Amino acid sequence: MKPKYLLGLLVVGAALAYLIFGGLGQNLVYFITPSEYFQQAERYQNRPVRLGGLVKAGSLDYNPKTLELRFVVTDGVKEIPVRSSGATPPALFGENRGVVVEGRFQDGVFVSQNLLVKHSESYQAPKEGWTPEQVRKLIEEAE
Amino acid sequence: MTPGLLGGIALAGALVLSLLGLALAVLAHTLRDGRYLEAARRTSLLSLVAAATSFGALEWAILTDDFSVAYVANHSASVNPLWVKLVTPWAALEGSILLWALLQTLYTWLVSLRVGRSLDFWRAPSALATLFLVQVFFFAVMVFVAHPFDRVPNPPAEGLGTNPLLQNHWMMAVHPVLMYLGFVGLSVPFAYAVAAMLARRYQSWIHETRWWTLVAWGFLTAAIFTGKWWSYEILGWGGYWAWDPVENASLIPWLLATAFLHTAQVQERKGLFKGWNFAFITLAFAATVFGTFLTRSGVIQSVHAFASGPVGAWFLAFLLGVLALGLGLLARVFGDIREAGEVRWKSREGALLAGALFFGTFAFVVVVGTLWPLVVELLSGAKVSVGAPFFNQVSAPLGVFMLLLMGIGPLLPWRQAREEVLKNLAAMLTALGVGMLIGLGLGLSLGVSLAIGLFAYNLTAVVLMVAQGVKERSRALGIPPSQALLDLAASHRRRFGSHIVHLGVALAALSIAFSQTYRYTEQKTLQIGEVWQTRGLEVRLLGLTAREEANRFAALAPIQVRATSRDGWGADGRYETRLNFYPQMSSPLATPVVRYTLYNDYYFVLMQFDQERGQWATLKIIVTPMVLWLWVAGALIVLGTVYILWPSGARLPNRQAVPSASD
Repeated sequence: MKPKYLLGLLVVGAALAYLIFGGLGQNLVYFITPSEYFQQAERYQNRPVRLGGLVKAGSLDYNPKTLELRFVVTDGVKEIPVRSSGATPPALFGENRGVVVEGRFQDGVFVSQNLLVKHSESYQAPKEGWTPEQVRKLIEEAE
Repeated sequence: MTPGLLGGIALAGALVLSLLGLALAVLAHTLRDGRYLEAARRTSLLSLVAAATSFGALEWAILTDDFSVAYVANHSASVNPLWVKLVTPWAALEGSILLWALLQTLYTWLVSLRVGRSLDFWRAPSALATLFLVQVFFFAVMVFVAHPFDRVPNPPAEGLGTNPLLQNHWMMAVHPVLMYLGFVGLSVPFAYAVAAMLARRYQSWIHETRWWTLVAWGFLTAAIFTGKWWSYEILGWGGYWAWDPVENASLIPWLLATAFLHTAQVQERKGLFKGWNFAFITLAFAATVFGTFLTRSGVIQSVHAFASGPVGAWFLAFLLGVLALGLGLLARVFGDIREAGEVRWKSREGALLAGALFFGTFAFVVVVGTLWPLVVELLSGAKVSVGAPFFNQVSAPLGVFMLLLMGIGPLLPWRQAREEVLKNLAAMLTALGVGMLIGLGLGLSLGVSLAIGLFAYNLTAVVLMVAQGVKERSRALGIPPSQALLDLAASHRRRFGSHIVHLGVALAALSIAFSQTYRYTEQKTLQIGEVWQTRGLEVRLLGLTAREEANRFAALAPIQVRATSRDGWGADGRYETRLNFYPQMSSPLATPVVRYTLYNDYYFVLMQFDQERGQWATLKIIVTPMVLWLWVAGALIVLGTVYILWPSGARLPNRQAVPSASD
């Protein structure tokens, strides 16, 4: 191969690698449960995160005036308050139901921009005394 | 006889027949005996009949609400409307595989009709053997791990119902079938490639393979666009593409098949790029299996989900088998097909190769982005997902490069660029610049202005190419230009069809740039009778009612919309936003209503309503420009493909009479 082509190939390859791996690093969204958040809280600040868990019974509160939806996501061990304004129909939330919300942590509250709709054909509510691992499995299966 | 029994027997029969066909085809290949080939040919029809019987039995079970069949009990219900019942066979895993297998037997049978015509006796046995092997895989998966006719010991009185997302829109009757026609269709080019490499006949396969690939590609394109449309109409977020693994699974084979369609042209005309063609078509077919593996094994949610179902392991093994067969054979024959000469980049073949490499790169990027979460989970245990921003960020520069290449490539002559290309290029670049300036002058963003420029650039390229051909022909034969245009369009179907497809792609890019950049979203809670003034629109909530339907319950919020300025152009009307509640789902489905206009789409979603007193409803409005043109673009691409494939009958006698610069 001529050195001219080799050089061109290298440049193209480097550009591509930069595009792919640079982009991947910035756009990785962690998927965590409340327990995992509290294990390494500082790691998840100021970056997009997907928080998975169940909507705690009795925590769901929708204010039709301000369009603000508040609820608590739990994995049976830890809880995180979530504030959501807007993107998702609040009607799709239900208590004791698995949710995955995408957003960022702000002062201990998770501010959600987006709910990833999880429509499971065979949904079951978690039972008393489930371990976080079981809850996580439930959420994953609901995806 | 019950449907379950009939279906089960037919399924086992189809597996046996596929094995028989495979054995006969292998014998025909090794013994070089035409009688075995003839027997294998007939077996393909029998396996088609067996598969169709099995599929028919599943339809029968669903239509008669036979809940002793587990699939029907789990995925259907007696209250479902007729059309939902008819499409229920592909509403879940086992039935989808049955449909896939049925279409596979159909394609195998179609190929068996080519034996002795375009498929010579050196290649026919191994091509049929490859297709029978694929059939064996799918029927074995059903018989051993995902049986559509598993029985329920105590049949329930009512089924669990069909996935509401599928019931909610009629497109689900069409989109999956198109997708499978495309996916399965790619098995034929793969079989032709395997046969060509085994027979060491590297040229004769390409012409017909390009035809088969174009058929599959057309279905795949239609499937991708209908899928986008379904997601736009149903999912209620106002978008049409989310870089979800399921979507990526359909895009990867499409990109690789597109790459093949471009390099195949060169082999057809110049006999070059044989290695690339074998590689691209193997990868394209492998990508269909890869996509099914990704979406069906659950591996994308978590690497650990992989172990939970056996289907994933089967598909992974099959994927590796396909890759080993295709690439292994390619490695074996690589010495034979190595090319002597060098390709100039500034020529038609160079541009086609560059385009194909672009598509291959794009496919590679999508694969990396889709698989990256698995890599991270394996290395660090952390669960991550790769967001849409990554894919958007990478595909934007690749898209610009592709659009530039798409304009100039077809203008380049074979072998070497000549002077007149520079003149054309200058005209196109002027169009690019003028388009961009107009966009910037209108105050549009840089990206959108670039998209306008690129559309003008590609439009200019097509107009130049057509005009030059027409001018030469009308001058040479002394006929009016309109007559010359019609003659050329009739005699150069490939050329004109590809122009239509390329224009469709440029239009799609324009629509994507606009709709991704200028989306306007607003929401508000309205009391009944209240009027909401938002950008160019006046929305009045007329009421809030409930309605009981056979398979669901709906909450309706009718609204009256009036345009108050140019921003709301075309939005006037009365719309019924609704939330559908399905008994088998814990939460309702938001069902948007969309008003399509030539410029803006108005998208209304009912977000929440007062469930106690019925006094208020929260509504969301999404206004997106130029989405309609994406569907027009999809239709253009499919039309162009049909135009190329349409049987041309007798060729025009003076096809070669006038050497034209446009060909």
